[in-house]
Amino acid sequence: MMLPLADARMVRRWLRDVASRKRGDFAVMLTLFVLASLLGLVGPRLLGVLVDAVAAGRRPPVDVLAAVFLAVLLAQAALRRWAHVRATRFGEHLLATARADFTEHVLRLPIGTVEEAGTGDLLSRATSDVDRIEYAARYAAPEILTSSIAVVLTVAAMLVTSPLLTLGMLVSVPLLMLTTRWYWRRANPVLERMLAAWGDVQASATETVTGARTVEALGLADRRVAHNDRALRAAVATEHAHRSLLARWLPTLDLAYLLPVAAVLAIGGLAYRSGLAGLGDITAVTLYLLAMSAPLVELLAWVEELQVGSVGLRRILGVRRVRPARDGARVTPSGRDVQLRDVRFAYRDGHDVLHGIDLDIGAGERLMVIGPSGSGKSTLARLLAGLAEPRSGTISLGGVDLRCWPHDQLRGEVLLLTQEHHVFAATVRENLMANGDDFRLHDVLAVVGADDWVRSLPEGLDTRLGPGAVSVSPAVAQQLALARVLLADPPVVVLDEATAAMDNGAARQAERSVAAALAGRTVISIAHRLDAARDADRILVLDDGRIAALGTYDELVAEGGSYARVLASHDSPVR
Amino acid sequence: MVLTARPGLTLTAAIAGAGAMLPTAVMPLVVGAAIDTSIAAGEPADLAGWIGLVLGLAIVQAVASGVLNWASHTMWIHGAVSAERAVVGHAAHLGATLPKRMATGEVVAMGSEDVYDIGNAVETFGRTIGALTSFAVVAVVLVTITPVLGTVALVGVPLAVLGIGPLLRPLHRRKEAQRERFSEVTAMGADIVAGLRILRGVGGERQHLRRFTVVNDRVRDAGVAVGRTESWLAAAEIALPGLITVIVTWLGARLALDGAISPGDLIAFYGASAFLVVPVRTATEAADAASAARVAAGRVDRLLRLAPEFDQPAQPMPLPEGPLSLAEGDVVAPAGRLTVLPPDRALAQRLTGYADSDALIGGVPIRDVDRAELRRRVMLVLGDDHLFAGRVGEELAAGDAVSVADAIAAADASDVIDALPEGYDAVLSERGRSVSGGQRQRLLLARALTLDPDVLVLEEPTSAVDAHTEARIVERIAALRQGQTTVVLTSSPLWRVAADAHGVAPHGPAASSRDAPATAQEGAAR
Repeated sequence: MMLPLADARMVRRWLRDVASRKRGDFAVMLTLFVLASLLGLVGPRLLGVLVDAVAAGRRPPVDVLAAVFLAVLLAQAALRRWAHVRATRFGEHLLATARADFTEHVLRLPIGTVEEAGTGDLLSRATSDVDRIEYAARYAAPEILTSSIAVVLTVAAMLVTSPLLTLGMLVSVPLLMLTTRWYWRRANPVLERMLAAWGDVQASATETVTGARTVEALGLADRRVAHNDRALRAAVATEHAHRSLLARWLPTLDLAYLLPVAAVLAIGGLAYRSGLAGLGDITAVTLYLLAMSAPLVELLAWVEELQVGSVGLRRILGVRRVRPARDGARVTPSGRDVQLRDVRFAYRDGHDVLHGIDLDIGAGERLMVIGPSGSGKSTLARLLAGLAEPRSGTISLGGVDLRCWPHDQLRGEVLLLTQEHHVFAATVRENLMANGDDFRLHDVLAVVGADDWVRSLPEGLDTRLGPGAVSVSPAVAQQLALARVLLADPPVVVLDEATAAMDNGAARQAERSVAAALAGRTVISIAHRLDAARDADRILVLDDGRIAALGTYDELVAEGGSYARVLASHDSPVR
Repeated sequence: MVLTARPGLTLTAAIAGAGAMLPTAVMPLVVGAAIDTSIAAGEPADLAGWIGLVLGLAIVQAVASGVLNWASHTMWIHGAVSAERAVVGHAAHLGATLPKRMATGEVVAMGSEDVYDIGNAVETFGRTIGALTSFAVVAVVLVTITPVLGTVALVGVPLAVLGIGPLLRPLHRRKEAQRERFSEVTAMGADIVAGLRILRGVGGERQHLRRFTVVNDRVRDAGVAVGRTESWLAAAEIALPGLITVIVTWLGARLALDGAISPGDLIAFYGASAFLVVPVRTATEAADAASAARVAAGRVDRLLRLAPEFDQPAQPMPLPEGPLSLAEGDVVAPAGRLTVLPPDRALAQRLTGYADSDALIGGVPIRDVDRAELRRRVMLVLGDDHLFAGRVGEELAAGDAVSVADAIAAADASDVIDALPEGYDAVLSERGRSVSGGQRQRLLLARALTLDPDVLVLEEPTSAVDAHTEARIVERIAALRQGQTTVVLTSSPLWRVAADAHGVAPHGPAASSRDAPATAQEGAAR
């Protein structure tokens, strides 16, 4: 499943909201840009006045006019600077709001949605798309704003100077409109394919680089080079497609601004003879025309970036369309027994991975779940933690169907700890996400076997972890994750291979002390290491989504069967 | 290098570059002359000629700009693609040496940034030639009309444009420093997304949102500060070149009033001094692009100069069959058997020639063995090996000595393939993230088995699978690799049972090996 995209209407509404919160800044910014552009139009007009005067043999006060010109120029520069300051203030506000909005909404997403969509999609929204809108907001938007203001005002100035001469502009209007529309229709899909193709090239190169050892060990160098060449060929093909579009479209832009020069000269010649236009008017209008080429080119060049940015914004705002996690009224369970009735689950229609599980887990019981890879152990764990809902059948906690529990209340009751470990680029304390006092934190860290490590850090609990700071081994990451769960201290804990990254000795040690710390809690643990099997109250053997056996350790061994052999082998004195 | 590789293309870009810029450059001169000689003089017949000239110039420019874009784009592709191929080709060639010599992130950045920088520099070539040509032409014409005014325009404009650079260099540095903070907030957002399951599961949203808000506000403030810095640049870009236009107009107006130059000349000067900013700016941008490319090329060059850590020996020896030993007489793994050692990556790397050592294979020091043969016949598979994105069937078939189906069966991974909607045609996502840890581990194992190396060294090959599956894998691999040398570095008891202790375990009680039944004879070539 893909996370949704915001539609154009949502983006517009969002932009309007953000702009209206900074209405003052926005208005001042626009006014400043307009004023600066207006002052920029004084030059050609002034030259027109001079040309008229020279032609008429008058002697205007040249020095005064030059001083005025200079003053206008300095004022224009000052206004531009001021406008720039306001524009960045507004733009940064917009970006900060977008980033904060995104993070806030992401933190409200239901876990099920996140798991279905995969973190890749969200991650690319949080990074590439944020980068895209930053580029668009910092560079493209201001350029487009100033250029379009300049173009509009220049046309206005031409009209004021001489409506008749401005008619010369008309020759380029249809040309510009038709060809630009032609180009954009074709360019958009090509650009999309082009971005995707270069993304593939980068992905291929990144894999070759990060997997360089594997490439050598398995002799894959030629294959990887060929893989890269294939990706490059695809990217070059899209570049060629874009190139041929540009090669046809760009010449029309040149024509669009040079043809009016010829038209203005022609109209000007006739108009001057019949006294409809002065030499100064003709001068000013042609100079305006020539001056318009720069903003026009800028405008068209940046529109592409703005489009890329708006796609990014649609992806970023898209998370708002996901319904946030359940927030219902609190439920009042009776007791904490867990009950599964005929639970079935499928990731794909028609492919059940759990086939009607019936199970009662008493409060405070230690249940160990074993079974071959792919037998549905982890699926069962996720269902028990309420991260996914059974296709049919029910799971209840304290007599209340898990589907009825509000998210916030349920996670106070049941926590799932998997072997997936993430260490936040934050302090140890922040990674533990608890507000307990230092004594409690150190106690818990000691239970999971990480206290010596934390105490050896330069700033103890306040040491920053993660990339660029103290690096954390997978084993320690798992210890921290265990500590996090102990601090949250929920009545029901589901451990899915929670110690797989530690070496055998440390894992057994941690399991033992965690078990002690969780005394009295319901603990459902999934493991492929069977060392702790003897300590469990009951062992559940899953096979192909069905309960193959359920009972105490001694019962299972006595019963015989394949699992008894595996259990026995772990008791053998080999080690 | 790229410029000389395709001389025709380079020449085309240069000619088209000139053609695309010259018409715009001389347009103010043409307009000035047209106003002087025909409109003001009332010579309508001449005007048609001038209009014809403008139209002609327009067509030349349009055609040239199309050709220029085509040629520049081609050069960009050529530059970026050849740089990218060089980077990836060399990275693949360096193999295990690469991560030891250069940070992975740096090499990845070469592929995503440096190669584009190199392309960008090549791309500017045509436009730079156009800029230089048009500047020269306008220079000659202006100086011919009035030496004084021409000189003011020609010296003033470049000075004004170039003057912005050093004036703002300190500001530029400050800006760069502030820019670096921008990435901080993106990194934090990514971190929150990566740990989202934990945050949503355990409940640390508010705390982390608070942390994010603090950084986000700081980045916004840094951005506003950058804007303030940049605003001086925005002002200078208007004021400095504008100043030259003011001076030219002022001097020109005085000359025109004195009758020294015509009104048309005045227009020409005004337009030309406004135009001259364009070629100078193009040249500056080209210089910037060139310096960015130089830095990028320096980085790429540093990569290309790296040589594999272990050279081909001066007199490479063929690789014999035989036991693996750490030193003369110190046999670690007898030939043709399954040996189990405690997990020790350094040991594994010494035994297989990934780290410098005195290790021997069949009595020949590894460092004297032909490198290609060593890599082909002695394989070390590590737990964090890379599973590449692509179709499962293709990605698993690293070799064809053992069929993928047999390898999958030996690694007990048939259920992994069966669970994929399109079976062998299913596409694995990057780094095999779409399969679970245990499934990934079995696929890695199967991939190595297809190559059927004479010596296979496996590091913890079954640490992420359940005991039942592990037992099956151990059994099947022992059977599949009968008579071949297999070393497993693991703490798993099941492997140890399989390699039940025959002969003296050379490295403490943890190591054991099992005689290979029947076929293999130590030291004998197969």
